[in-house]
Amino acid sequence: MALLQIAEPGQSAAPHQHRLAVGIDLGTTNSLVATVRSGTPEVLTDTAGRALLPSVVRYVPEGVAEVGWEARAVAVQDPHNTIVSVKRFMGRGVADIADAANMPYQFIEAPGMVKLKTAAGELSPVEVSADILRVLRQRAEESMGGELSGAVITVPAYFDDAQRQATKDAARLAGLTVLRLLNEPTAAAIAYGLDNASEGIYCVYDLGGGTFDFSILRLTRGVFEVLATSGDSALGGDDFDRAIYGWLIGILKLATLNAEDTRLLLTEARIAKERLTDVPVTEISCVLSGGTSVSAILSREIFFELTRPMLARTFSPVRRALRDAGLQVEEVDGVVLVGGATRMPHLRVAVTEFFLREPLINLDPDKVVALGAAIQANALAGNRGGDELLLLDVIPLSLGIETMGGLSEKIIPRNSTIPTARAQDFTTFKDGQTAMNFHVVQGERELVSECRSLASFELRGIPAMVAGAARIRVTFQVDADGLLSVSAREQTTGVESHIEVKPSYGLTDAEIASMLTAGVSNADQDKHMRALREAQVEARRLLDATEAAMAEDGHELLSKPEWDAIWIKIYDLAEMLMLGDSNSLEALRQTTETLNTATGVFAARRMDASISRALSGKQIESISV
Amino acid sequence: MLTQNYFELFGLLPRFTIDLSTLEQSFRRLQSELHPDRHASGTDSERRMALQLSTTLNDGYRALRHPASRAQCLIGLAGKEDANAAVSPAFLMGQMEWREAIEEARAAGITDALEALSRRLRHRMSMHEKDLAAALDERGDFEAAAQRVNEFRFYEKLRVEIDDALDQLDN
Repeated sequence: MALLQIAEPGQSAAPHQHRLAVGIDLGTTNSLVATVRSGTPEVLTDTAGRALLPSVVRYVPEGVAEVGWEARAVAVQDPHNTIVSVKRFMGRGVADIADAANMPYQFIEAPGMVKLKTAAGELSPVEVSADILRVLRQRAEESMGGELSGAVITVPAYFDDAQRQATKDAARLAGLTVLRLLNEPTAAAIAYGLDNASEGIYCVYDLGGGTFDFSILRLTRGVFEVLATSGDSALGGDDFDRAIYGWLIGILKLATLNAEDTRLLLTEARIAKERLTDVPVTEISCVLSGGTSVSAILSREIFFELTRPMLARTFSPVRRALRDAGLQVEEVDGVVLVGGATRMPHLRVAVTEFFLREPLINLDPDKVVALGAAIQANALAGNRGGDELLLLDVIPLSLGIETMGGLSEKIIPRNSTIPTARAQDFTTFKDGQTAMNFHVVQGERELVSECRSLASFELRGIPAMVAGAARIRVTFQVDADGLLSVSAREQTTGVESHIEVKPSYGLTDAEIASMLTAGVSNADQDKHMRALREAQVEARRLLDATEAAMAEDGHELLSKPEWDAIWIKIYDLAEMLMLGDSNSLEALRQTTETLNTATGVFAARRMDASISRALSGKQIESISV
Repeated sequence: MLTQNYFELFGLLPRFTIDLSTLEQSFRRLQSELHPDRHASGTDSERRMALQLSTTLNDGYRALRHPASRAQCLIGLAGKEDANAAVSPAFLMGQMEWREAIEEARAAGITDALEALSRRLRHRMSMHEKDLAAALDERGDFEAAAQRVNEFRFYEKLRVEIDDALDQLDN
């Protein structure tokens, strides 16, 4: 293991050490990885110079999964084992998947999330996504020449908690440290806004392969403030392919198709859709598995007619977001198009007509999300140049709690800026009631049954009182990642209960560990090494952070004894890390915690200094009066 | 660490009539220093504090931006939370009429009618804002203000109802 460098007090080893951080666009159709190099975001390519990695994974018995172009090329021959658009299944049950019958997969209903039956066994969408992420991670590490310190991974803004959690789990499984889950339209706005130094109200219309997202942002000198977001998590470019596919089945009078032919025609439909962007008419012709040749002529007119209803569907979330932001369409300063599907000519016409202005298309709609994610990753890693950017995002869906009669009481409404916290008081329903069950849900509907269930927990030990006498305060806290934690407290006695909301769809740590060690005989040993490695990373992180903070303003904010006390703890932890004893997991955790505690007062003074800094630059109204 | 008086926090005088652009600027300046993203590579304690402080800023910003909650803050600062805020029976009758009009437009599926109601409501709310300014900034009449705040909340609910109806007709 590498020796840890310890700087003399006041001379931090590497205050501006550049950390390798990437942005990953884990798309329905294609995925990309990007990073910031010498101040400029750029997409990383594979050895053949290609930026896009098709989000396609093919599983073979007893072998390594194929990912990307190779897998996509054989999708038609091996449709059951070649998983296309896996993002549509993340955090979803079979019942959630529209059109499951038309897909060439064998779905298995599993608790929480659907599984897919392949030649390599039953796989969760999380595992399939992890295989895609692993390839991107490898590409980045080869290209950048070192281990990644972290990644920002983008998700559709309209993804709910289960889908976000599934994405985070996939990243962990692929060995990535997630710096932040970033909403795709927000990422696009960052790339676009910084590139063009824009100011004002901007909309991002993002039609991906499987999801539609729409966000409205206010851009002011490097601050990106999301005002409203909306979307449709079950509408995307794939649906336009399926519309062509349905039309083909109809005019060719094809009754039942096997999986190979379904995949073949879906692929031909996609190619035809893409060709119609450049030409008015295209021919679809192919040979089905039985040897029959089929062909059809598809014109733009027919295609537009077929897909008009889908296109129209995208504008209802657009109108909702404008209403939520309290804006009229005339107040919008620019519209950014994101996603390959926004190349369709009739879509551009429709967007232009709605917003009364031409959309902005000067950044590649396929790359803009990854570029924005890279910029945010660079900022979060603490690299130079990151401090001009500030992102204020919102939660896309309301968070609530079930009340009497199966109704949802909203605690945090959609489009609230995060981080945020809200509290609400509840009371008991029966005389002598000593426990209370809380059911946390997400969604806009009034009936709990029509919202997504996130978690349930119980507050016990409420003293027996008459109905309605107890006062139970339920507090929702959403952090900057959009992840929720809930606590409940009986006000008169202080009885408390707390839960980190881990959706029923999320994987437990044990499940992640077992996936990581699947097929390995000494699983326990592996688990221990993994825990140790995580503790080492954490200790290292804290050492870096403390040293940097001490160098920055330790002299100013600490007395000599305080300064010495912290340095003693720094040396303790550094020494323990250097020894690298694999039996010292518990001791390492404890020493890390000790340093953490020792820096509490220092951290508080640093925050106070930040506040004074923010306040000193400002004109105080009360002075000028 | 941060004052819980939101007006002080954002460098504003405790008045109902505030300069929204000053509020926005102060908010952005404070978030630029305190947001968790600014402390992503800090110690655990620092990150925890950043989360708390940033939460306070977001909540304060939201409270002052909206007329009803801003007025409520002033009523709280004056220690007049107990002021009688009951709305009049006539007001409640008016609410019934609004509800019926919204329901009628929704049932008939007339988007234009809902849009018209929405405009009328916005106008009503801006009149109400003027009333609040007069009650709080000129007369210091906290009872009248508390009543207006309560009425404002009814209007807020109507606004949500109209938006939901529009959304429903749109899908």
